[in-house]
Parts: sequence; C-alpha cells; structure tokens
Amino acid sequence: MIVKTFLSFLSILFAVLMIYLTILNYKKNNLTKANLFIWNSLWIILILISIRPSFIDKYFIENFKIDIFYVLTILSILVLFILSYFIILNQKILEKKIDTIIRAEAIKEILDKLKK
Amino acid sequence: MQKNILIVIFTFNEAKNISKVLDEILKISKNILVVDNNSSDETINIVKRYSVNFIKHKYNLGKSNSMKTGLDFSRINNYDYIAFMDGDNQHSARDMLNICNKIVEINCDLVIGYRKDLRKLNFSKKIGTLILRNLFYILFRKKILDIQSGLRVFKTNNYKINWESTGLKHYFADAEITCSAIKNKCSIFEIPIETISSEKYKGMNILQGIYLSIMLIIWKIV
Repeated sequence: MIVKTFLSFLSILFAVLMIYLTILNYKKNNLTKANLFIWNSLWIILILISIRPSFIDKYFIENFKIDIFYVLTILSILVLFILSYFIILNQKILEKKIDTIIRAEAIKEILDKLKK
Repeated sequence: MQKNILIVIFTFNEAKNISKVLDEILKISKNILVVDNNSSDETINIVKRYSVNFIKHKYNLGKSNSMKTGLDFSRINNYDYIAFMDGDNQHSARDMLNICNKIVEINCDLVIGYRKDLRKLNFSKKIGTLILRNLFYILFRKKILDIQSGLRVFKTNNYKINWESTGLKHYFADAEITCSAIKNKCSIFEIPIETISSEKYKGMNILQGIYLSIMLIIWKIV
C-alpha cells in the first residue's frame, strides 16, 4: 500500500516536472503549440491515471474484462523499442550529414589554400 | 620515394610526437598530408612549422573519416597511391618507404606493415595480437598478421573497399578496413615492420580486444 502510494506520488511529481519542462521548451521555441498541447495532454493523463490507478483497473475489468495495466505494459515496451530505433536511426543520419559537411569544408579549405 | 604516393599522417593530440614523425618522414617524401581530428594541444601549430599540407577537422570525426578525407584529397590531386600512418611515432620512415616501394613493385591493392617482433610488446598485447590473428584466420580464411596495423598503403582508385564505417569510427577503423578488403577480394601483401612500443603507447586493453573480437564476427556476417 505504501509502495503503491509512493509510486503514484512519484509519477505525479514526474508528470508535473515534465509539464514545466514542456512549457519551458515551448517558450524557447523548441516546441510548437501543437507539440505543447499533445505533450501536456499526455502528462495530464498520466497524472489522472496515477491518482487512482486501482479505480481505472477495476473499471476496465468490470466493463471490458481487460487487465488494462498488463496491456499497457506490453504496449509501453513496444513503443519504447520503436522510439529507440527511430531515435538511434535519426542520430546516425544526422551524424553522417555532419561528418560529410565537416570533411567537405576541410577539403575545400585546403584546396583554396593550395590555389593561392 | 615515388612521386605519385601521398603519405597521410593522422593526428589527435600528438604534440609530443609529431615533430619526430615529420622530421623522419620528410627525409623520404615531400608529398605529406596531416589530417588532424581537432587536437586541443599544440599539434597543428607544430605542423604549421613544416612545409606540409594539413587538414584540421572542426570536430573529432574518428579515424575512418580521417582516412576518407585523406582519400578524397588524394583522388582530387590524382595520386596513384595513398599511404596511411599514425602520428604517434609508432612507425618508422624506413618502413613507410619499404611498403610504398613494395606496392609499386608488385602492383597489388593493399600492402600492410605487420609488427614482426612481438617480444617487444608486453604480455597482454602479445597474447591479444595472437588471439586476434587466429580469430581473423578462422573467420576470413586469410592469414593477416596484423589486422590493426596503422601502416598501410592502398591504390587510390581502389573502389572495392567499403570506406563507410559500421560505427566504430575511432579505434578499430584499421581492422574494419582490413576486413572489407578481404571480403571484397582485394590483393593484399604484408611486409614486416619494426615494432615500436613505448611506455606511453597504450594500445588496446583487454575489453577493447574482446570488443574487437565481437566486431570481427559481426563484420564477417554483415
């Protein structure tokens, strides 16, 4: 019981911190208004789930006969893998672009020097 | 030394060694290019005192990108051959001269200098070199005595080798290029070179050796 309460508290605290960071990044123009809306909605949903998770669990079992947190766990792992894949892929593509630009610039510099 | 060979020297914070390297190398050739990976010490300032070409990457891009930069420069300036060496004074100018003369003499794709005397290495490096040598033979069915040797010379217009690194841009670029050369059926010749192992020369540790062994397996499969 204490552990569950503690976890709920931690989750709500984390979500509040993320809302703050999201607003901060929006003010720095790192996120658009749409991003701000979507991410803050997700953090608010997280807060609502964290307040009474057992209530949500009971509701889904009684009405839909689904163990919702089991489903969410599987989906979360799937989303984590997919997100990780795309983040790593994008990072590699960016790295390749940066390498190409830096090398091209370095070659151009020396060729210009040799022409003089 | 043949006039159509470009010697590329890779540096990263080699202020203590680069003078000795350049003093020696300039005795055998004037076609030198120093590729520096954004050294934070006095390396480039020392290089500027010599009449050699140099390129400084704005960021450290790793050895395989330095090789590609050297290769691009070599192709633009129509060199027939490109020789690589590290700027840490681990290779002698005489050995560089030998490998360059060899590739012209026998007209193969790649000549690698292998350290002939493992006794000068410490115990763990000796064992590591032997293990990697045997593992390489088991995987690639070709006897290469020093897959990580930084002293090598290629034909510039060798398009068989895949210069795109699979991600190990820093320490194992030489081994990766060796694997690529074998897989793409390049003609390779090895000649013995002097083993120089100073206290400051760190080389590979055990973990890096294990990592390289795993990567050899992956490069064989991929």
